[in-house]
Amino acid sequence: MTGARYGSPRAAFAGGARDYVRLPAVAMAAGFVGFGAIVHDTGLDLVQAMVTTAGMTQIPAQIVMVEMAHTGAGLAGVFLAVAFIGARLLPMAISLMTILRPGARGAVELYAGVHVLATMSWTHSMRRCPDLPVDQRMPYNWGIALANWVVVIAGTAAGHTLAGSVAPEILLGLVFLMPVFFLLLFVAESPDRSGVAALAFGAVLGPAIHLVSPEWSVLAGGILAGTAAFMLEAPRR
Amino acid sequence: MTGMWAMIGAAVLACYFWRALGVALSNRVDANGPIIRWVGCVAYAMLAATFARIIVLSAGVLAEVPLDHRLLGCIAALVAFYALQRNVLAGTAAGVAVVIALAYYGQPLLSIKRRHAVIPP
Repeated sequence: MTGARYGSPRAAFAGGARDYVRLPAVAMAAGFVGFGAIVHDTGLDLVQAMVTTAGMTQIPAQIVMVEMAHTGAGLAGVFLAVAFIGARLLPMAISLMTILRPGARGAVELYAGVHVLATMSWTHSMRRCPDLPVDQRMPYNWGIALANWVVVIAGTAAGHTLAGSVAPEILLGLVFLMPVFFLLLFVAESPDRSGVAALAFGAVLGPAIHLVSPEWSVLAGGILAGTAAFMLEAPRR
Repeated sequence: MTGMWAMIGAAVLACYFWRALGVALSNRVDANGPIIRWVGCVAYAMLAATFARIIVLSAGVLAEVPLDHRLLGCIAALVAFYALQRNVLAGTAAGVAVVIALAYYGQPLLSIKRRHAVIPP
């Protein structure tokens, strides 16, 4: 975690993986353990849960996908909702890939590397990579992002397996942990008041619409509440 | 569950779309334009809609906990979060602890059914 450089790209890869282990990786793994437990409850099998994590690596979007599927939303609706939520990946990808691009071995490495981009490793790579020589940046990011990817897939499997065998009160805790953790995290990380307003409006509109039409609660509630929050803040800029 | 696999495929594609677009646009654009901010607001609202629904109109194991216990958990989480300088982990721990404690000690008042306890034979 220091500003030290590495002797070689290979050492940078190992350094990235080491830095990940020193991060509060436990918190991240715990989130995915919770995801594993919640989808066990919703009816995904172990392989589906692990493929979801491996393919998306974005718990909030994963939960929304599973919950929408569970409440009877259609394929197009799920795609649209995940596309909106996954959009938070765009600014992350743009900023990190701008830093990694000069040292990457062609477009293939960039397009493969961006798949394992996750919030946890992104935060750290953004801080660390600009100080590294260009040929060490991509290996460093591979080290930290792959370590994260492996841990979260294993965490998902652990949560899914545990959910079938723990006391009901513990399962309850794991399942309750997920929405509470993310609602607090979104409040904490929201950059301005429009974000907090969007959270508050969505929290009220989502369940309200769900009472009338479960399959539209996320899409309609999200677009209405989000647009209202955006317009509240927009005139002031 | 073939329908579930289609959902998973669509969701993975929806995520990868933004990742790939990010690579294509890297070095070229400012990621803070108004459209991206609007999309961000909608995303936050969708997430809040989903997570609030999970808490208030629960399905699965959470549905077996009375609503007032779930709301007490949320209040505990918010109080700890704001009391301890917006500490997310402290807030979450407080909320989960309250809900588990109510499930254990509130036994006569609520009716946690035991059917989710899958004890291996």
